[in-house]
Amino acid sequence: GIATKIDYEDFLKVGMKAKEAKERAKEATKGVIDSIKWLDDMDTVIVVLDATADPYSQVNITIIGNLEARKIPVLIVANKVDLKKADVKKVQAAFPQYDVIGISAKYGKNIDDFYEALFRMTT
Amino acid sequence: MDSLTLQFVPYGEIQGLNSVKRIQKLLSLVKKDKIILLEGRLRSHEEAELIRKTMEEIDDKFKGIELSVVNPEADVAFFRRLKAALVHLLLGNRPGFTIIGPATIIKEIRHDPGKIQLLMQQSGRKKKR
Repeated sequence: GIATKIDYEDFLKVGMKAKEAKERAKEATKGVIDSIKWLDDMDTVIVVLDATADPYSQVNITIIGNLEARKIPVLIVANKVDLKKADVKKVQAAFPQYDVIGISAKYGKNIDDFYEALFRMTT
Repeated sequence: MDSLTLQFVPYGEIQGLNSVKRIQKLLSLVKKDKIILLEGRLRSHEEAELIRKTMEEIDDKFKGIELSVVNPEADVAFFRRLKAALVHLLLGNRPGFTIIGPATIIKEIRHDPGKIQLLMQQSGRKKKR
């Protein structure tokens, strides 16, 4: 994925030692650089969000705007709709100009709708 | 007392620079712990290049950036979009503004309808050894 910041200390919080955390952070920066290189070759981008959490804090909207400027279609997927706290309408309200599909990857809910939306965008 | 520097960068200051120089200039300001308020926005490939260059320069001290574009012409009905297109024709990349700041100072830029919030990192954070 594309991030604008990587902090090796975040990996320390999950129990990694300092050296390993720094190496992991370095890998993450390379991953972001590679993702950016691939942007020009993308047909569609799927942005997967947690439907139970604040949508604005999960994705950098500037990056989505960047995809729009490159004319790359974006499909917003709101995951975890099996949970009571899930609010797909809140995600749709945060991204009114994009298609939003609510799914539960854990239980396979609405996966057919997801594939249909994806095929519509790419054909 | 911790101080915060907000630096306004008019579009004219970067207009004459090529993409490489623009990114160099903005990134050097951020690495001096300044929060940049840039008039307008970078081109889409420049935004991507800014992020790419940021990733290359991340180290123990520099953790990256927080980046947010505020465009008042986004999400509008058709005729207002038409007006936005005319504005864009006249002003190019200058409508709206871009906030770029060091991730060590800005924890998050929350951009939801009606307001923009800069959430700051807590200072004096204890580090585990």
